Parts: sequence; structure tokens; C-alpha cells
Amino acid sequence: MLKGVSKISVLKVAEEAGWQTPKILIWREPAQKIRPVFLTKLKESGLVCEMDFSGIETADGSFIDEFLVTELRKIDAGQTDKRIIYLSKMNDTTIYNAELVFTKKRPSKEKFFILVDKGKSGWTLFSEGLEASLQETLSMIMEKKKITSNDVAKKFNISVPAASVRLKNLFDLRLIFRTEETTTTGMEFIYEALF
Amino acid sequence: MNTHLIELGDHLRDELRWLVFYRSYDPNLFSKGDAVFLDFSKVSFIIPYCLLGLLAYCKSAFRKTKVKVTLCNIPSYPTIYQYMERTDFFTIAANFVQVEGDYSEVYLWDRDYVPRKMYGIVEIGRNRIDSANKIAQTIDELTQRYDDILDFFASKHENGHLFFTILSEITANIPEHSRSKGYLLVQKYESQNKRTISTSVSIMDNGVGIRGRLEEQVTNGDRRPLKNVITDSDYLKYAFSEKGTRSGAGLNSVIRSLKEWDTHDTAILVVSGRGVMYKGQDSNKITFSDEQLFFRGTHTTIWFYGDIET
Repeated sequence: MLKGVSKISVLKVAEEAGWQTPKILIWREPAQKIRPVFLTKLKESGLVCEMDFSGIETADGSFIDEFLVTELRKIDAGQTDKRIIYLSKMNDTTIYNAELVFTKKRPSKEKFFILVDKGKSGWTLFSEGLEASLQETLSMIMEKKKITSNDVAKKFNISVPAASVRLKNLFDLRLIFRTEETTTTGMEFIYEALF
Repeated sequence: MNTHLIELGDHLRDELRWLVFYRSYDPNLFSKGDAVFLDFSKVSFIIPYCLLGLLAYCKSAFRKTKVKVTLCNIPSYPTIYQYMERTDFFTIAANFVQVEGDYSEVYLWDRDYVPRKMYGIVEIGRNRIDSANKIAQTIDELTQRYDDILDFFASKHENGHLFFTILSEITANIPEHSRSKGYLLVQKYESQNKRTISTSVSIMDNGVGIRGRLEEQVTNGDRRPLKNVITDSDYLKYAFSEKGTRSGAGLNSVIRSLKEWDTHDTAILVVSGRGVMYKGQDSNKITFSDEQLFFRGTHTTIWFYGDIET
């Protein structure tokens, strides 16, 4: 289990922001209203942040787009501090709506990737067009929880530099976490699953 | 100034009859000062789509004449007056409709009667924050009444939650794009032998319509000029396509959600401007066509069908 993950409860954010119907977040308006509270909490959080949707009965596509995609776009553009965000405890309605938003082909050609912790049902990745090689590497990390580029190289029979590139790409896409460790041969990146 | 005495016949009992009526008595042809009387004496049944259509019709007529539309001879048996009262039609239409006749002796439906099967007309205003809260409250109440409104359907398909996706996406367009108020009415029907059930979701606004809004976005530079999109039905097709959705899940998610279900158990009709989009219960095919008449705003109805297992 990754240490130092900050948890932000979407329900609590909505309640704190004074949104009248915090359990049902539809359209862009609640996202705009609760954004200041959310950004304060995001700023206070660590690098990895779990967005906890427990208690949310419905969050529709417009809300998710305005609430999450807007922030991910800013993170990608370097307009805000880097955060690795994943989603958890979403019910069927919200998962369905989030998937629609994240897997949509955008006229702007932008792509956003986000992991969803589905508890006992495992995990899912909302994406449009993640390369197969990255997909299989991600699956490996989600299973092993902690790996190095050597592990990836061995598993897929590729060179260590090629494995390092795969892992770095996944880290850049905010889908995994990494730490640096000193080994007998020097510094080494250890890559970890977010949950 | 003219007086128009218009017999509604029995045109409020299904969508196609209503469109036939609308074609015959286009409210856009009225003039300022005209008096419009709608005679209900032959109305025997009203479906939600037609009730909201009537609301839009009266609003359009009032916009032209500046005189309230008079509803006359509304039957209390069959219980047409009671039904309209129960949906809050008279309250919501009070600014552009007046009722002729004395109904003080009519025994109205108790507010606790039928509520499990019907959700009265919800007015969606142009204030987006108020409307977002109002639709959220509606979804909350419908969720609590889910067993009454849609359980027959959800139990069959296991993904009844898509109902709320459709509801929020369709209603979101009213304050976001229509430039007018809109209305929502949800109601469940059981056949007399209670073997078949259906739930109808109707949404209507009197605004700029889908074509009007897309053209506005192109003019403002918010959207690139659309290629090969010429007729109103082309605009409808575009709006409901993946390409037409720029952010959020959009109208395309309505089609996707309906397709997630067995599409033989759903039907959808959207009328906007002259464009008509239609998928019947017995077909997977979505058709687009153009009417000769112009329907102001966007009128949508979605049906969910199911059976009661015996």
C-alpha cells in the first residue's frame, strides 16, 4: 500500500462549499461552486491524492468534466502543482458517467487518463488510446504493487532502457508513483501502484 | 384581431397525433391581439409529452398574441382536469393560460394520490445554479421512488442508473443552451391488466433550438463551421453524435445510454425546429427527418418499456 496518499472526500468538499444537494452533483455549476474548496484541499495534499466519491449518489458527465478534467488539464499544462489523482468508491452511475467523459475522443485531441479503485472488484483505467505496451506494464504494477525497470525488462523480454521509458511514461501520465532508492549499483527508481 | 376557436379533438393522447394538431394550427401564425380558445371537450387522454407540448404551444401563442390562451370545456370525466391540476399545469402556465368554466365542485386528486407513479411538472429556469439544484432534488426524489417509477425496467436490465444519466444530460441543455425556461415531466403507466408497464420522461423548452444554438456558437467563433450540416435534422444528427459533444458526456451519451439497454425496450422522439429524431420501440434504427413546420425550442420524450413477470 502506497504511503502518504492524501484523501479528499468529494462529498465533504461539496458540503463545505455549501452546495445544496451535495450527494447529487449534476451539471457544471456544482463543480464551479466547490472548486475553491477543492483547490485548497488539493494544495494541502501530498503528491498522490485519492478522490473519494463515497456518499455521492450521482455525479454526471458535465460535473466530472468540469471538476476533474479541468484540473488535469491545468496539471498537464504546468499551470498548477503536479498531483497524481485517482478515483475511488464511485457507484455505478458515476463510474459510467466518468468513463463516458474520459474515453471520449476530443476535438482538441487531448487525452486524459485516470485510475479508478473499484475496491474488491479491482481497478479500471479510464482512457482513450493508452498504448498496449503501457497498458500491460500498468497491469503488472497493479498486480505486483512495487517494481523496477529490471522487473519489467525481464517480464516482457525487453531492454532495461525500454522498460525505463515505459515506466517513466506511466509516471508522466500520473498513473503510477515513483521513489528513488540508493542501491549498491547507484540510484534506482522504484515504481509503485497508486493503490 | 381574430378569434380562433380550436378543437383539440383527441390529439393529446400520443405524440404523432399532437404533431398532426400542431401542423394544423401553427401558433406562429397568430397575430397580436388574437384570442385563442382551445376546446378540450373531445380530449379523453393526455400523455406527458403532449401536456408539455400544449404548454409550449400556449406559450408560443401568447408570445404572438399577447393575450392569454383560454382553455375551455376541460372534462372532469374522464379526469382530464384533475390530471392537469395534479401535474401543476395550471399553476405553471398561469402567465399565459386561463381556464374558462367553474371547476370549484370538481373533486381534485389528493396530493398523496398517484404521486408514486407521477412526478409533477418541474420548471427548469434560466438560473443555472437554482436549476442544477432543482434537477438534483428531482433525481434524489426519483431515486427514492425508484421502485415505483422504474424498477420494472431496472430489474430487467441491471443498469437502470443510466436513467439518471439521461435525465441530467437532457435537462442540462435547457439552462446551458436553450435561452429559455424548460419543463420536465416523469410518469409511469401500467396497462389495465397490469401486464405491461412504461415510464415516460418528457422534456421541453421554448428556446432557440438545437440548430439555433449551434449556429450561434459558430457565429461567435466558439465552434468551427459545420461541414455538410444543412437541414434542421442534420443539426440534430450532429448534436447527438460524438463529434457534436465538445465537453462533458453530452447528448451523445443519451444515445449511448439508450443503446446500453436492449434498445427494443426504449423509444425516443426529439423535435427541434423542423428536425425530428425518432427511434421506435420495435426498432434499433434512429431516423432523422424534416417537418414542414417549425417547432420552437426542443421537445423530447423517452419511453422505457417493460413487463410484469407473472
